[in-house]
Amino acid sequence: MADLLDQIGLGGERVRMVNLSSAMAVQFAEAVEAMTETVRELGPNPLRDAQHTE
Amino acid sequence: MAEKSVSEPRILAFCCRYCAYAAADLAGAMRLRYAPSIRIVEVPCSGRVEVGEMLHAFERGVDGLMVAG
Amino acid sequence: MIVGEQKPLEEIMGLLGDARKVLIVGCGTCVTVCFAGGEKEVGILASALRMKSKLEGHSMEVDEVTVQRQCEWEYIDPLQPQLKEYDVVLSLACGIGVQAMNERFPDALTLPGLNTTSLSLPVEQGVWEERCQACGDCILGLTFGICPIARCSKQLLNGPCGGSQNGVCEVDPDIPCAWQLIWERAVAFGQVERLLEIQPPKNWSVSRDGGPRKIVREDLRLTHVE
Ligand code: SF4
Ligand code: SF4
Repeated sequence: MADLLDQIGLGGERVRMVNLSSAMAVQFAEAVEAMTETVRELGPNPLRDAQHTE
Repeated sequence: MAEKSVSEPRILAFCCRYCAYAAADLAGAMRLRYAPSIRIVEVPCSGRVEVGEMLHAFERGVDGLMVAG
Repeated sequence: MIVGEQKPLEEIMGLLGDARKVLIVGCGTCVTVCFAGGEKEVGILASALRMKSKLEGHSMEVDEVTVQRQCEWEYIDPLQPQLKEYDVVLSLACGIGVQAMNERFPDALTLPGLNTTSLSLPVEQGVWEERCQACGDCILGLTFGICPIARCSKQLLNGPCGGSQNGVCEVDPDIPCAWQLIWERAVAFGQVERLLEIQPPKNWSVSRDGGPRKIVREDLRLTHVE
């Protein structure tokens, strides 16, 4: 999947798989924070601009 | 998805009902703070999520995607 | 089954050139079960192409359809009315499907999205191994059910060769020596003497050496009454 996103040109880092148990609330919050940080660095999905100008 | 600030990333999370969704629930109950960027979709199992569905999410403009189980 | 593999996205983009409207046609038989060109893969590729083309600044409209079998007129004929809406058709069937489309609909150009690779056996989930080369003169009866045409790197009829080492082929240690396997089967059946007989050259004229092959079954043909 990440590979496909790379081929498309969106960036494979935009997708992430996380393994959690139901008791791992703290890890869940951390994963969300980490993902948000990664995505913030990558910038918005470039398809969005293309979409909104249509 | 409603358009508000362009700068705030929008992340879609497919969460397994029994693991990650429950963890998210617990995070809420524990009043943990985390980024408001996430939109959660509950799925019966993270194995349920198809590549096609993930691509559609990106086509519709999500900035990131998590599959959590 | 016929097994294929999707071409890289970059190559497919190149084939499509500056087409604006593309129809991807999947096939619901062989390439569906080898996860290369069924409904799911059609959806994934369509989505990927829409995004990639948009990012590269020449948005393509990509529609999807999957037929039960792309190598039979009956199944592809219903596609006819919609084809003229498209600049190009991209087939995710094997090479037979792609050619069936081009023959049946000469006004629409159908391009291949897969590389058709082999007649293979899914030996385990996600692994396909070549088992037959459709040689037209099956010798499995002489080789205890293991095909040296498809599985011996040198297609030997009287193997093994001197390159057979510890059960693997000298060409690649990941290839089990077909003749070693044949020998083991012969031993298991107590019939090694059958392998001592020298096999004469095989009739390759019924294989590709005789040109494209064709089967005509008069008993099955529809007779046209004048
Ligand atoms: S001998 Fe010929 S027909 Fe028989 S399995 Fe091998 S390639 Fe196929
Ligand atoms: S080592 Fe075995 S499989 Fe390889 S070429 Fe020789 S006989 Fe064929």
